[in-house]
Amino acid sequence: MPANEPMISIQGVEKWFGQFHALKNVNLDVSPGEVVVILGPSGSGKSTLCRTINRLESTSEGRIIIDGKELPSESKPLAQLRAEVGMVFQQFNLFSHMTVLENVMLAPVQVLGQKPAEVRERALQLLERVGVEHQANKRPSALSGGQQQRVAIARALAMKPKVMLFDEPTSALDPEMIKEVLDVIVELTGEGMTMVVVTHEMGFAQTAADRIIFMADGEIVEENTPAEFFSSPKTARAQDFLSKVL
Amino acid sequence: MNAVIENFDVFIAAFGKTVLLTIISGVISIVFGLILASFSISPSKFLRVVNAVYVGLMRNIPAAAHLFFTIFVLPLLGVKLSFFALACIGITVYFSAYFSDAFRSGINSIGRGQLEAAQALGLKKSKILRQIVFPQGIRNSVPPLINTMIALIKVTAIAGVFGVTELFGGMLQLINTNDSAVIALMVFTALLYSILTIPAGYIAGIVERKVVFTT
Repeated sequence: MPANEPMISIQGVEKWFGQFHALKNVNLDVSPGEVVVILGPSGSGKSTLCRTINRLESTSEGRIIIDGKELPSESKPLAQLRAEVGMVFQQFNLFSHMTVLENVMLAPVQVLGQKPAEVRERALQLLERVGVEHQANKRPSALSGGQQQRVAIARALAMKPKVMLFDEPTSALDPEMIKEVLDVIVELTGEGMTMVVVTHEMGFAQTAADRIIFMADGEIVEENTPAEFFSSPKTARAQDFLSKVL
Repeated sequence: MNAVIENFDVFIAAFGKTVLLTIISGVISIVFGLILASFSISPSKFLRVVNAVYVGLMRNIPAAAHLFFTIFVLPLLGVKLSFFALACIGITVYFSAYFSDAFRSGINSIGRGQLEAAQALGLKKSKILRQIVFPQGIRNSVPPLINTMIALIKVTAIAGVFGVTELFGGMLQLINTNDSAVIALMVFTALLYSILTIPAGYIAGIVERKVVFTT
């Protein structure tokens, strides 16, 4: 693979929810190891865009290519491709009938067919890395929101994904837990993980992003470096947005 | 009161038959209910329609009509079985529809996020069903299943009107020969039904707190 080939390539994507035009001709390339943060007011389509990248949301038109492979629509190759893309949700979505450790172990064993004993060791290491190793045998409901989200990150990382998608990972958290989750995500940026992060955390966007994508009304309105975006945004929409959130 | 004591063995035999009727038709209904419920989440439209038609039709016919049909009409069509077996068939046909709905409500209560998380991890449909949908759905179904079971216990009494000497039928026979003790016989019968239904309701409450997950 040539070094300049994008890890994620979104080409002319359109999305309609009935009469509502949710994504309008979205084009975006994300390079390997790049951290792209998507900002925008609610209803701007940023979550929808994030969810189209692993086809949790279908597209009405356009192409999405991950690591040179176009997203298939049939379920079997789609499952294979999804296994290479980690996703972290706003509501954590840990499997409520399994322990924390079982949550992390499930996909490597069931999808990749790895040996449970090996997966277990790696899962425990991941849980230690996100600081919840002492909760390994508890059910998710016994954990705080911040702990659950860190487990969800470990669960995604256990698949050794090529790309990590974060769909508003801290929006459902109490303020005091936001930092512990962001710290884990920031740590990942230092390891060369390709990431797309939808967030409302401006401080995080400023420090962790390689590039800011600003969306409004289903369109990418502005692409900029974090320094430029926060000091002197090019578009009036972005200026207006920043004046409200900062 | 004497009528109760003198006929205690009759009550015990009839009670045993009620328990047997409950267990046999309950277990078969639960199995059929689970199969019907899996139709309702099947990708095949035909199976979904089969489930919808069966459940819609059977639940809206009175239990007494079901039992009348299986006990009196089936033999006319050449089915040669005991009243007890025919009653089991009638109850099963009726309650499979209710158990199907109990399972379906449990499965439907699984949050969409659970399925999306499983899809995002790359699990195939069959594994999502086995690993996520059924374990959570069946757990969530336990309280409605127990409630349906309690309803089934009470419906077995109808078999007593159609010639099965279970608890209610046994009571009717005793009333015929002891017409001065009607109230005592009825109260004692009610007590025996309560021995089955009240603990079941109590267990449903405990199970609900222990096994049902909220996400």
